[in-house]
Amino acid sequence: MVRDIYKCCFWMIALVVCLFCCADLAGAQATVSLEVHSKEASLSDTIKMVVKIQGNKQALHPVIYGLEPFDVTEGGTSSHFQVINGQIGKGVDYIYYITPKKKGKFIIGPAEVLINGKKYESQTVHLEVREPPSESGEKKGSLFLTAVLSDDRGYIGQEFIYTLKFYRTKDVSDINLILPEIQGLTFKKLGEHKAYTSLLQGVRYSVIELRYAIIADKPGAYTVPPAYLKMKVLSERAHSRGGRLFDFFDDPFFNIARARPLSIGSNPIGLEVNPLPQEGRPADFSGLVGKFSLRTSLMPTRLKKGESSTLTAVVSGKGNARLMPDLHIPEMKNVKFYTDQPTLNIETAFEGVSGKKTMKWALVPQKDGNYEIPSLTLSYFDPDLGQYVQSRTKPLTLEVLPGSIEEDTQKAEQKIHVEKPGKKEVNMQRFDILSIHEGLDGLKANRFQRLGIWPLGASVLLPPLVFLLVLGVKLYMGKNKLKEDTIIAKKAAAKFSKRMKVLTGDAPLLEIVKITNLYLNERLGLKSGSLTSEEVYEILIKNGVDKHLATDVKEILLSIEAAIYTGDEGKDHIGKRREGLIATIKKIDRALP
Amino acid sequence: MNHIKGKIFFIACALCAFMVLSAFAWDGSSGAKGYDVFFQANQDYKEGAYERAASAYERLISEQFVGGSVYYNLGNCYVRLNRLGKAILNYERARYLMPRDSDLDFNLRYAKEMTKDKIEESSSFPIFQWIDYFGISAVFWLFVILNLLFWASLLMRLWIRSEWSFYMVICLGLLWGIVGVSGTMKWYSETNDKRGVVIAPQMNVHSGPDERETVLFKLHEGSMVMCEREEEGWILIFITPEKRGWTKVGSVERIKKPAQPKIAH
Repeated sequence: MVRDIYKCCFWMIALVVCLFCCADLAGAQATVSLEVHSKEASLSDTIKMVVKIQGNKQALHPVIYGLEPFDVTEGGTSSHFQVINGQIGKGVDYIYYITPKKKGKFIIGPAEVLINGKKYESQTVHLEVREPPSESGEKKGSLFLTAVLSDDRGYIGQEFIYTLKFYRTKDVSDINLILPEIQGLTFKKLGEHKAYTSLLQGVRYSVIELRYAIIADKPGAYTVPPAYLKMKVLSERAHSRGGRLFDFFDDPFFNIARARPLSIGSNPIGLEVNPLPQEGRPADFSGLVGKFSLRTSLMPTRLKKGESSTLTAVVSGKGNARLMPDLHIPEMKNVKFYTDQPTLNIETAFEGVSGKKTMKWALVPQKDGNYEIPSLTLSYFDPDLGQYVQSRTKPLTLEVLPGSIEEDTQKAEQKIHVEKPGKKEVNMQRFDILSIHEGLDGLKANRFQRLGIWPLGASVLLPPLVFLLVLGVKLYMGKNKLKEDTIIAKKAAAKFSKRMKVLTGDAPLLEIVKITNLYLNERLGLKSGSLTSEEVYEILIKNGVDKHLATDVKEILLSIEAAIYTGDEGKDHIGKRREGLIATIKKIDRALP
Repeated sequence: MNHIKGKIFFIACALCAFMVLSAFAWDGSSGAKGYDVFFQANQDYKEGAYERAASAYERLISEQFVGGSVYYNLGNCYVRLNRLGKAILNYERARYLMPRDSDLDFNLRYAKEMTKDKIEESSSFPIFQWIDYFGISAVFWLFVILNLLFWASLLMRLWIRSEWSFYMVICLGLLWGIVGVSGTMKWYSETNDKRGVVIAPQMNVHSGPDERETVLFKLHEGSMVMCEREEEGWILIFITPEKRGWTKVGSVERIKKPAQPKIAH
């Protein structure tokens, strides 16, 4: 058992070593990135900055440019090892805390790192440093929450940024934010929260900053009520009497301190939302409010007749980007254009909501010459300026060279011989309905529509009716046949007597047997032809005739058969048996059903 | 006797066949009329006179039985006139008459994509979905043929009681039953089609048949609704069990099977 555990541990260690080796191999492609946890800060804030080196842990300490306006404190390093989608990677993060020394807009970076003698560079980041918020004379506590709006007045459609900052000097847990609810205002969270430290009234606080976009449904004067934070505050334990010996147990890990629930609220804020002015509203205004830009490009700008060029228009900016309109290019003589489906990307970042809409048209000139692609316009309302703005692009020029169809065809054929064209997905360039049906068949109604209910019903009901009719005829005919048979049976005895009486005294005895058989066949509806005496006996018994009576008939027939086969017929042999047989048959006829 | 039986069987089969074939051959009207109107309407459409073309197609529909293509062309006119509600209505009516027409499917999909409201459409029960690919006419004639074969085989069984004739009757009986039930369902669903299309550009759906009642929701042109009942110029519609209400009769038009023409030939 113990050996198995050792074996298992050995293989696990071997696997980890292998993974590290593989990670080293994978680390041949190193990347460096620079991250600053906020793009805005005040002079009293301390912000976290991280240089991330992916793919190698053997990097030398990074050199970061642009840190002159900041006080920098090192925050240590953090190594990591990860397997993502089967790719093994390891890296190291260098952590710094930067405190601005002056206000302004700064570019930090790039960060330079030497890995195996090769220099790697990160991107740069922008940071705007503002004056610290004005401090009231009021002494702040160890836990407090502030709320600030980007603007206290604005316009309908404008996005107001609501910033909540939670300052603390104490350890807290189970934090729960309750946003204010007010009719007519909608809150939308912007990005993830930011954490940094800030100096306020000489006290260094840990700050958690959250941002929300507030959108007003209708104009009016609003008061945003306080937001509340519910949390549990870990109460400080009385200092251990054991002195330094027990300081080790002052670590939060061992601190089983009691937590008390606490709720703190932010300050209420007033907000005035005005309707968009009617004056100067452009006809093509789509309700877009914010700061937007429009740019166009044409690719290629020089082509041959019949070829296509792509006109791209990009609208981008911050604000209610979902209302960015679909732009339309005016009709152009001798140029066909096909509109592509526009794409809209909305990004909700910590700094606000921004969007980018890309529209494309394929332009196909039908004649050679120079064409001027008319300028496009975008109308929006700029809340900072308090007026409508029309962004207009510059007209573009498209140069179309002559090109004969034959030449194009020849070139196309040559191209087919030279290289095999790669297959591309067929995209719809425009959407439209298919043409009308002009065939005369389309006018004709089908028979089902034209047939009345009677012909339709008849074609369904006739086959079963015919079947029933035939069945009826068949049954009727069967019944008639039965009736006929009954009459024949009833008359069988009389016929028997008549036939017997007609026989002369010298007639062969075989005639009596034939007449008897005929009687039985007719009387019982049989088709047996000639019957032996034994068969006659059985038939009579089966039809319910008394056993003695059946035996009598049997004996009579036996004696006749004996006389026939022995040749001892004698004179007037018929006369001797006629009366007895007729009487017996009459009795049998009565006994038969 | 056998001779007589054979004669009866022959006469019975001949009678059935005659009836069915005569039904196929019989032309209820003296043929399609209105060629001139149809040609002219097509010409108007091609020249861009969509209003004129639409009214000509409407006239054809009101005066005689027409094929699905007339409804289809009328739908095209309404698409061009940007009246999506009427377009979808006529495409759906055309679908009754030509359920497998690819052009119609394409245009109907186009028109539905242009509508503003997102409404989920219900589909048939999976076992009976096959029937959506056939018009009532095709199902009916299939049933008529099976009906003939089934009863003829039963007739034959009166005299020929062999094993193969037994299995033939069973197979034909099963087919006859399936097609008969499906056809009845198709006929029922077509004659009781509750679907309607919003033909007004926008309509309010109220909680009761009165303008003063609360507006529950709004619908836009081309949306498909189910019509339940009418009361004094108001119609009760629903999209889902949770979204139902009253709207004015003129805002919605029922798809239903194309009505009898006023002047039938």
